[in-house]
Amino acid sequence: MTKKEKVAIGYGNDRIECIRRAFSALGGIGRWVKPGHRVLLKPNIMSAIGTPTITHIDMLKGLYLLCREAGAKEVMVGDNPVCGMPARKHFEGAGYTRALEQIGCKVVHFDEEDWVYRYRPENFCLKDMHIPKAIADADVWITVPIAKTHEACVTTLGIKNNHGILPDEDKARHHRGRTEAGTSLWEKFVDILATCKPHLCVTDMFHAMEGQGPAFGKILEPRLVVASDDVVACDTVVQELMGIDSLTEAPLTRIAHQRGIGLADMSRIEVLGERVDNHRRKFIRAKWYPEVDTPEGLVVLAGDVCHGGCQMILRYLIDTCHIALGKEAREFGPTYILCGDRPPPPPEDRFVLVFGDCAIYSTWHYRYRRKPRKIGPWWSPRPGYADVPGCCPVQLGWLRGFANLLRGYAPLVSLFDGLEIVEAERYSFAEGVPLEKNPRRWNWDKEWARKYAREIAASRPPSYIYAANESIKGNRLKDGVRPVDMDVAYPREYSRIQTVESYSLISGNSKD
Amino acid sequence: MVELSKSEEELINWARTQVKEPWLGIFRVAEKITRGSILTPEESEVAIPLSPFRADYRQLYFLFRELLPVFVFQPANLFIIVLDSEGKRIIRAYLQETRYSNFVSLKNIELSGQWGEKAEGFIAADDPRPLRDYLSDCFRDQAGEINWVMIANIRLFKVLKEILDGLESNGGLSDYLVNVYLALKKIYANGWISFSPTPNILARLEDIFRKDMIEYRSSDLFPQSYEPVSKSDIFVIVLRGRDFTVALRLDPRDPGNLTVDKEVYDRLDRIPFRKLAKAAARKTGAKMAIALSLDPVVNLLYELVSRPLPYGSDDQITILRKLLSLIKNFKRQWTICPSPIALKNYVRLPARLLGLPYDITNLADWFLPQVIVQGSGIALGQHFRTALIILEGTSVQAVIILEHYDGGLRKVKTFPVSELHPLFERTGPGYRSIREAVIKAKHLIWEKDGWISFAVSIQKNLLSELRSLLLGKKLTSLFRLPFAFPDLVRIFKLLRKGGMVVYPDISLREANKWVKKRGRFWVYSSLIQIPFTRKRPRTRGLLYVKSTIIAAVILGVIAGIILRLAAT
Ligand code: SF4
Repeated sequence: MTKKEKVAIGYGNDRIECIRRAFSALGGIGRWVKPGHRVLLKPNIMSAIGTPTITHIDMLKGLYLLCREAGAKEVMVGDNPVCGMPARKHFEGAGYTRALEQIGCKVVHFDEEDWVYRYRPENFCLKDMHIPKAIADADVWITVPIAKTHEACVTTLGIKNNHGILPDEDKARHHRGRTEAGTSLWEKFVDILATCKPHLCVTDMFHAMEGQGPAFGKILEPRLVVASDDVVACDTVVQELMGIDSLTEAPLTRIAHQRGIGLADMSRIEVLGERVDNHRRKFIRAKWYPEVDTPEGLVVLAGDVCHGGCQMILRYLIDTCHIALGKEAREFGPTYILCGDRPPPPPEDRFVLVFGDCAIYSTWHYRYRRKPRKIGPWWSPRPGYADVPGCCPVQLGWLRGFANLLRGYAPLVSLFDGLEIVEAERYSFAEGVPLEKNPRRWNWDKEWARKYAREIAASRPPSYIYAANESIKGNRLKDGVRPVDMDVAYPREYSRIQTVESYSLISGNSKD
Repeated sequence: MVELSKSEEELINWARTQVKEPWLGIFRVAEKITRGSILTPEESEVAIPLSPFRADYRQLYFLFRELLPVFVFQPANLFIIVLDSEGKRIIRAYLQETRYSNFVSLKNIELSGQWGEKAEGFIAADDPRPLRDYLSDCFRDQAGEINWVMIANIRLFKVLKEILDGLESNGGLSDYLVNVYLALKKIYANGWISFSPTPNILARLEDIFRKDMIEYRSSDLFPQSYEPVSKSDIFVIVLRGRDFTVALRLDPRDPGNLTVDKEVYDRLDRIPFRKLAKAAARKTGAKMAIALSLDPVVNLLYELVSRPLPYGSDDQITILRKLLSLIKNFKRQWTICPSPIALKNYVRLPARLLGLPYDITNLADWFLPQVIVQGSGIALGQHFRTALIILEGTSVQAVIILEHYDGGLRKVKTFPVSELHPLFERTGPGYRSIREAVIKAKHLIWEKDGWISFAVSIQKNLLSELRSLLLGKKLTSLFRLPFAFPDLVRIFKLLRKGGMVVYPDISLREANKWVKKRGRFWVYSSLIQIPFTRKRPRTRGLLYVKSTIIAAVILGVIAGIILRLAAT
């Protein structure tokens, strides 16, 4: 079979050297970047801490130098990393803003810029979305991910890095894995790729992350950079270097390959520069299931949890709290987390965190809700459980809910309340808003909505139950509204959502 | 005897007088002590070879006994081979015998016979293990088992000679340490010394120099940037072993003299551990004395020297656990004189009533290491480089770059101050202008030496203010505490004027805003609970009831006393 896609691997003592080697193997960046072009680089800046969590600045510097040498008129760097967190804070926190400006790059915070509407009816679930105008206007845009393992997608590379080009409002849609109901986080990532494909993918593998990626894994130093003009082929080669099969184990490359959006078959990829065999090592995979390997002090009671939804966010919660909870477990006993559809009842009715809409609505008849035990000081008792609403609870509201539940008992966890220092001033999408505004499971799962209709009806206007499928939201820009301005709620409001007492009222009255 | 060149001959003669003789001097004293002879202070004073230190060997004897197994091995016989400058021929051989933790003898080994040729063969094949077995077989009748072998190139002596010459010419302690660093770097870079098996402490030196963990160039630093910790204060460290007490006096005016008079420590021997630091401070006139129980210290040192450098996160957790367990055992494993005010009960009790329940003996040593090691990974990242810029006004004194990887310090290097001078020279005083200069400096280092994640500038006078506050007596008693306020005000002012600048600072600024919004007291009282283990109440709800009742009773008693006093 003839080779179709070319992927180059550069090895060296620093990233700039690796990039040069990779591109000289590919025939120079001039194949894509022409004199006078405007180039946009899209790194992964998911937090303010450095490599291997985020793309290293030397990757951006190396590409900037190459683009300038090829005659590019302007080189921009932009991202909209994590839901509810402003890109500006991440760029500044990592020290990138001033440094990039100094070398001559323009920094674009997508969440502060204009958006363009895109509609692609043949997509699986995310049929329409908004993309940054900066990307739409760029002659060449290059995705620059860093190689990491991931708790929901096995790896986070070029395909997954594209999530950062959406506004928060679109990011929150289909953040779950109920394919039977036409919604899947994996398919959604491929939908984004199909709608807006980068011209080049240059993966930072100088450092990489294994284990509990994308935020809590362990650093490795393969000293490589992998580049190609086919994102899927580039991800495939990186996954090969990580000891991961792209057609069986990694969902995103498999789906993209099956849908014909790229090539994930190693036998049809020509690798230039370094040989894969010389650098392959088996990366430790991220643990997926929320109830596996939980830290001392956390008992996860899982029902039917979907991948990419509560599964992923709960894993974040577990990894975030991995070090914070051991002490409280010895001092006050465990905290129970209910998640998914119909989880087992908690053995104690105190310190119960109810995670996600499935768990909230399918446990309304459990004792911990019907007769909530009180915790907290005697002069101000509160119910022994807290809800983390959302499907899935994408924003860091879950940590807020957790901090609220353990207030006064777990000092380290209560400091998570300080998350507002990294959050946006205002939430810009539906997950952080009061229940009645939230696009939830009842939007797409009619059976489920019918079953819990009474509870849902008690908590929000009934007309919303069978609201249109959230897949097609339409061009919100028509009337001049920016996606980031929609469904706004203040973090303060969210921190007050602990329990929805109305469910308890209903269940108290219910006989059947 | 093997033919030597003139320069080799000179080096061997130098080594005989400067290394072997002082070493034999130590042996002689050690032997007398082992035999139980009573020595005068003059008789027991020894010079430590290749260093400016003199010491009373009666004290070092105990320390050697306890520490040698940790740093080197269980004391054991050492075979020393000296090679010619080509590294091929054996020109000298010695056998150092050690028995019951003490050096017994240092014998010259004749080079006649077959063993030399065979040993040279093993050395050429770079195969040290069979060499050790072979030497053991050859010399079993002279010394028994040979436990370790040292192979040194004669050029090693040349480098050692340079250290000593440097010491004689300028004599400063810091210069001596720099010379030692440079010498070790040269020795390890050229492979002029090797051991089989490698003792712990030398394996760590190998880690440092083979992995290039320190990159130092004296030309990078501003001359006169060194200063002793304090020019006038004496510090004493008292170590109590199972059957002895040793006091080490650190006197900046006489850095060569490490130990205190035997009479002083004889008297310390009888003092209970709780009062040891106080007694040592009184008897030696030291400004500060710390007493440590030797067993946990040895345990901690073992963890430090037995693990490869740089430490991984698991190593760090274990080391921190041992350290915190030592700190937790206040008055049982360590004491300090004067004791800081925060450790005194009359301060802890009201603090507890105010909701700050700290107690050093309840330190959560089982939990904190994970929080510190893994938490710093989450907060700062797994690979970051920090540039530490030491300033004196607007003049750059030193730039040190620290590279962390996977939780461990991977590299320390200096950066030429001359490169950053122009950036700071032009800045005016004040926080903003220093911050701007720090940002520019960060970018300049990025250009020349790679990305810098954090840049921190510190003014030298801020450091000296902090030093005098912490080492002074103002924080040791309630009555002296008011005198610390002017110092605190000065420190605060210095900070506002750019005494310490960190960049990127957005997280700090935002965190500060949040702390203000949330209330400083709420944040601090939450923070202070983290490092201490709380007892688990029988039921969780009783937690608040219990603390409320205790607080009410104590406040009631205090109110009663006040009313009573007011009435009388
Ligand atoms: S609430 Fe249910 S459907 Fe929604 S993300 Fe969680 S588990 Fe999936």
